[in-house]
Amino acid sequence: MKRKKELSIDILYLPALLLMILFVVYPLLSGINISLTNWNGYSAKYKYVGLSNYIRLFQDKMFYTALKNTVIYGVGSTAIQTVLGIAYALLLQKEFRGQTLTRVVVYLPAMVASLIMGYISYFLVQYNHGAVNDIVKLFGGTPVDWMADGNRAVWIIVIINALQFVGKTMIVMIAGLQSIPESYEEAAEIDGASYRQRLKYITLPLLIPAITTSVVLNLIGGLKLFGIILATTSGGPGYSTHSLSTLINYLYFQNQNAGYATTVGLFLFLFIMVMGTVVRRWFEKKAEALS
Amino acid sequence: MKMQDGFGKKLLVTGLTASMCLGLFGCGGQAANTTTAAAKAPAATSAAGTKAAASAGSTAAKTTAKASAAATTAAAKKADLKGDIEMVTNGNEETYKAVNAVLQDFMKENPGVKITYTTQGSDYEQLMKARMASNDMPDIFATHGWSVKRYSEYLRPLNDQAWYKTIEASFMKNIANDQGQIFVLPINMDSSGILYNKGLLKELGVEVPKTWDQFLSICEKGKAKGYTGVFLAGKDNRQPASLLDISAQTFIANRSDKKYTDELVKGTFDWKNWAPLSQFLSDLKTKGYLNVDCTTCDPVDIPARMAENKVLFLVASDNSLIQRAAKINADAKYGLAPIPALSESEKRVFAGGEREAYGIYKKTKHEDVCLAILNYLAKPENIKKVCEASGKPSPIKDVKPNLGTVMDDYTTYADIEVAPTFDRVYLPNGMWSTMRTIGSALIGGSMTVDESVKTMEADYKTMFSQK
Repeated sequence: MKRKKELSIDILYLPALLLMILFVVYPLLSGINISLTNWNGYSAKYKYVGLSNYIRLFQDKMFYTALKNTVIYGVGSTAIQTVLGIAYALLLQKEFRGQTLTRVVVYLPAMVASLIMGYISYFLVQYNHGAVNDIVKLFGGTPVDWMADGNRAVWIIVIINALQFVGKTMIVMIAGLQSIPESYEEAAEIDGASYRQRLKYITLPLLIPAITTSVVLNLIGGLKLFGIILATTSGGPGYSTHSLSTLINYLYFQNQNAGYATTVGLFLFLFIMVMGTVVRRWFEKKAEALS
Repeated sequence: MKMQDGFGKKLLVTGLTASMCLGLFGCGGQAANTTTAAAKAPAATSAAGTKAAASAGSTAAKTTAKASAAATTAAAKKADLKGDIEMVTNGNEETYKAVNAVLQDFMKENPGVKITYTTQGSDYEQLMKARMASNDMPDIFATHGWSVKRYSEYLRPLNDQAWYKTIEASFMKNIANDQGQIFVLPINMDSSGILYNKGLLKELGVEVPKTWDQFLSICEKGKAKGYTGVFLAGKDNRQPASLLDISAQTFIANRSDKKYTDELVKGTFDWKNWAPLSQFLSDLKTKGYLNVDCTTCDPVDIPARMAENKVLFLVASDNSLIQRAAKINADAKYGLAPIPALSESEKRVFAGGEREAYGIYKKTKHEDVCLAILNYLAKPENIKKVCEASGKPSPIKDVKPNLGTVMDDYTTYADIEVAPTFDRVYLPNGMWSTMRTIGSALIGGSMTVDESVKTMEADYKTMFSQK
């Protein structure tokens, strides 16, 4: 009877397993195969080149720049989103007139496609007639070509991405805050704990599960950043603002180097998986230590 | 049980992470689709203006209509043409509007035919490569200079068409393969050189430069007066690449003292010889001859910036910019001149070749309809209409479009040779993207001249081996 029940449960796994094989396992194996070739992405002809694409990976300056930028996009955006998201959640958890409207306004950019958000942002920071430069000129300053410097452009992209998705973090944090029993705060208040003490010793520790979810999701989102970069800089000047995602796009579709592009794609897959797992484990240990 | 739960949890989290990561494999395509959709927006809007464009061009059409009508519509009327045709291009807005107007007329005459005509802008090459990989090509598509080298294996040869004999013999080298087969109907042709500001050159008291040294000296004079020497809209990295490609004509291809072109074709080119070209672009930036926002300016701003009348030169292939700038400010008068030579003893040239040209997918299910569409497009009055809108000359005999002030320049420089576009002839397919990268990196300061040379060499070797 027990075996029969287990068997019926096992059968229920099958559709998910088939989908997993179709959309995860097969593309992964196919990707590994392509990464061992010099395929240009569209021709019927290609040659197997062994591990040369993997060797090239570690000698390629463009790859290192994109990797560095990817880390900045991922970590930078996550940090800003988490801090701002918690702040918004704490503020908007309290009831006041216009609370719902404020939540909607903060969340609104997250509903816009990244590419559109990128184009809108470009109009703000462009040199000629950009909104920011118009303000600078209004105060007698000299206009700045904000995106001309690769390092600065990377951080501007981080800010744009963080501000776009801070609303999502806010929603997760509000849900986390609502799951904290009010009695904890009330007891601490009766014991004479200040707001800062309550925040430090009650609210934030109990928010760790929500923070974990949010950080992992934001990190993955930041590490695969694509649309905003494409709309604001297209990876330039030169290749200074490429992320690994835009680099894959460049290598595959422009450089006609599908083999190498797939190698970078596989690296990114492993990189995100390792980063996501490490960060999640770190937060889990933190939560275990507190419980 | 607890251990099982933990394992299950780990499996679930790993699975979710993997799914999200693998979403990236689709990410490029997804984003590309989004971009495509965005690119379609202006196309859709512009379609609204097609009727006006069609009526505007109709007067010129009358003279030649009778002669061509019989030949071109015979096939169409033989049987009631029916079918949904997908047609794509990467032509600019002006070209798109003009071609679209012609297609609208065709559909009026052939109500059974529905043509979905779209322009894909800067994503066109990516889109076409993806479609080539999946053997899912549009029925009719623009080949943007690559009808032979890249697309010929997907295209139906068109030598059997009535309009074949109307193509200028001198243009054939640009669109025919070694066996003399052609795969496209060429509507207009590139004739790139330098665009120069007539008023500002007069004000500076200088002639149109014949050498690059004279060109740089004019830039220096202009800089002293607060003018921009060379305007670049480098947010789209095709702009600096185009500058390199056009300049390469006299830096490399047309050198009487060297055999660089043979070496490039054979694969024996010493890439150190590319350094002067990279250095030239780098110098334009470091000497302050480029616009301040040369790395971030969007190409849509080019006509407006030209119209401010503070730009001396553009090294660009889009001659329609001259008319578009003049529309904004009639005082901003620009002309077209040949590419300066390295020295007085070397010859100046224009860079040219196939531009707006359409071929038919050899596996299309509607070959008869596609041929009828090309026949209709090939009518001299229709070719003329598109040439005038795009500001480019026609490779079809007896079609003399009115290209405004540029016509004077074509007349002035009628004796100057039009050399085939550098990268299409002498570099392996795919090097254009390398030129886009190094061009943008050189003006952005993220690559040295030496690094740019090494990048060109490495990619050349890779792509040469893929030929």
